[in-house]
Amino acid sequence: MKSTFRQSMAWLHTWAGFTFAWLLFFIFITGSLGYFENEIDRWMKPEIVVVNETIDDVEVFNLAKQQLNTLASHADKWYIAYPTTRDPFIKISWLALANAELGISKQWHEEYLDPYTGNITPTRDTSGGETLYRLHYNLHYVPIVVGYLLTSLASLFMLIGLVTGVIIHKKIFIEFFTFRSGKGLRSWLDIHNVFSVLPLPFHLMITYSGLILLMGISFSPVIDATYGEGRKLHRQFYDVSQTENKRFDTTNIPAVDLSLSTVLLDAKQRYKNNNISFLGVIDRSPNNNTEQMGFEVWLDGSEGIEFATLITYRVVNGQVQIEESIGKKYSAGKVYDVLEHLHEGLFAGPYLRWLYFISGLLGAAMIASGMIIWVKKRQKNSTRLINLIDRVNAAVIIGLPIAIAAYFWSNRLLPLEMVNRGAWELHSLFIVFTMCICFCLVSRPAKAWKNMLWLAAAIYAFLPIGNMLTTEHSLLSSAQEGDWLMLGFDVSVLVFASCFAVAAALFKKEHIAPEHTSEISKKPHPELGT
Amino acid sequence: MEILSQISLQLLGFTLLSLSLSRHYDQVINSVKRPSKPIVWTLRLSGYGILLLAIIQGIKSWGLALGLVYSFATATLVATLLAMLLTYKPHYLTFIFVRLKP
Repeated sequence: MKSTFRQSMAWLHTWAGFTFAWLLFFIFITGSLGYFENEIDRWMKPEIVVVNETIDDVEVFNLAKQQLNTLASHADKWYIAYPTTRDPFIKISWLALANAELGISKQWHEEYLDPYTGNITPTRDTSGGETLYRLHYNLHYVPIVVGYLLTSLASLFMLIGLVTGVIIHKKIFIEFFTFRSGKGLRSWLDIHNVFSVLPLPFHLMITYSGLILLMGISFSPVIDATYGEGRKLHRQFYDVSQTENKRFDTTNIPAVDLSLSTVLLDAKQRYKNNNISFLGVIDRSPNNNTEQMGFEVWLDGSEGIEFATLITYRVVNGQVQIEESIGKKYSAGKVYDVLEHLHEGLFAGPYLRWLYFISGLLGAAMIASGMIIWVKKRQKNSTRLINLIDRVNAAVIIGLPIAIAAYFWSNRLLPLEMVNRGAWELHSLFIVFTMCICFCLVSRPAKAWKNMLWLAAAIYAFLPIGNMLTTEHSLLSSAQEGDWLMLGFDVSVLVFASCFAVAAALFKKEHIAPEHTSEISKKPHPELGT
Repeated sequence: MEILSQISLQLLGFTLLSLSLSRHYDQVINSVKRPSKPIVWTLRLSGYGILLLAIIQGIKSWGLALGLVYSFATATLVATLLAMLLTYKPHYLTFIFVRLKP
């Protein structure tokens, strides 16, 4: 143990951070991308036809219903997704029942509709944005429970790192805005502080809520104690704790007339100020018996940080009744809800969404700078182990963005008719990641860093060009057609490319004169006038 | 519009706060003089006051929960921008003093 409280906290901060740093970096990067899940999805399905003008709700409904009737007459659930600002297209999805004879299990299907013709637009098989962001808690190749446990453990260490970091930061207020550039280790410590302290509310929230979101797995012995072991018994716990408060209302729709179209008209009348984001039928029966079916209407937008409202129409005792969920019944469920919503940020508009994303990247940058400081502090000895860790740092910090770019590239380059195409997109991500690690292991650290940065700049810079060559979408055509998601993605990767290029150029400068840095720090800084 | 006023309020508040620290005060007015106590306290109190105002404006515009999210998120953005400004372009912030001492 160390002699003073602060020293022992510093020790804890160093080693708690070090233990899971690479995994945490991975979690922060892939998790941050999750805030643009829908936007990434759109880019990875370039065939989708975007709806730019407002179309009549009933018209969308008619188009979608026609397709659902032909494609999914036996399905258990139907959903029609209306065009919204984040998803400006019509999507239908259905849950096909299991078929024992054909050996098919229950499965969701989804298709996109051309708003002008009403036909299905065939889209490529892709893993999309959803699989990418799920990486941040399932870690893909490991069994799901192992993924949950590892990420829980990592967030636990992250929380320790955050709290000890605040304790050992002696001048948290005086150096709140301080970044002294060009001073070697001092600068790295400063930037580590800037990345940690300024988004601290986000860091604490995301880490703590991340930990709580997985508590069903990480704290499962607690549930075992009351409800017993096993999934079935745990289900009881979830059912009780997640009980919803419901509000009931009656309508004057005659029970025989209850259908998706009457529900649509009724909901439009009740909620004149809201747009509809989803229409759904649940508990469908093949003989169209509306007695037991439920008709769902999801309203677009949210109230504060709460999700969009969901209203369900059902026939109860020969009368059509409306059921509306108004939050969780018990306080534990309410707390869980608040943390979940804050973590996922689904309520966020473009401004908040970008800030969520940037804060997430700042979190990743905080971890990265911490890893670099760890090496820099030990570099004097320059042992083989430190050198190795420096190399792996380069491989992880720059290699992961490169691997994610490879994921996007594989979406454009893999043959469209390839079997398991979506799965191979993810394999490409991890293959390239492994290649980055191998490359860094065989080259000198300084060289590895620089080459990786240039490679990252190049692979992102060419992405819009690859998009232009393999699809009909170019920066110009996206702007002309008002396809803002496509354009936004292409412009964003160009911004990333330039960030990497700037970093590569700056890195060169710093490494030409590493010895001078300490001298400069003692001289007065001309720009600061001191 | 609400977002813009949130950003400007916080930018002003955080700038005043940063100037109450002698390191940044020196950077901005380009001298090594320590700011006098009354100046430090004027800057500090007005800075905190304006930040408080920003939070109230956030809560009024978006409700308690979402308002706090907006305020914290904006604080991260504004403070990071300010840290970079103070490092690379500190003289951009001299306007505060022009207004305080015409």
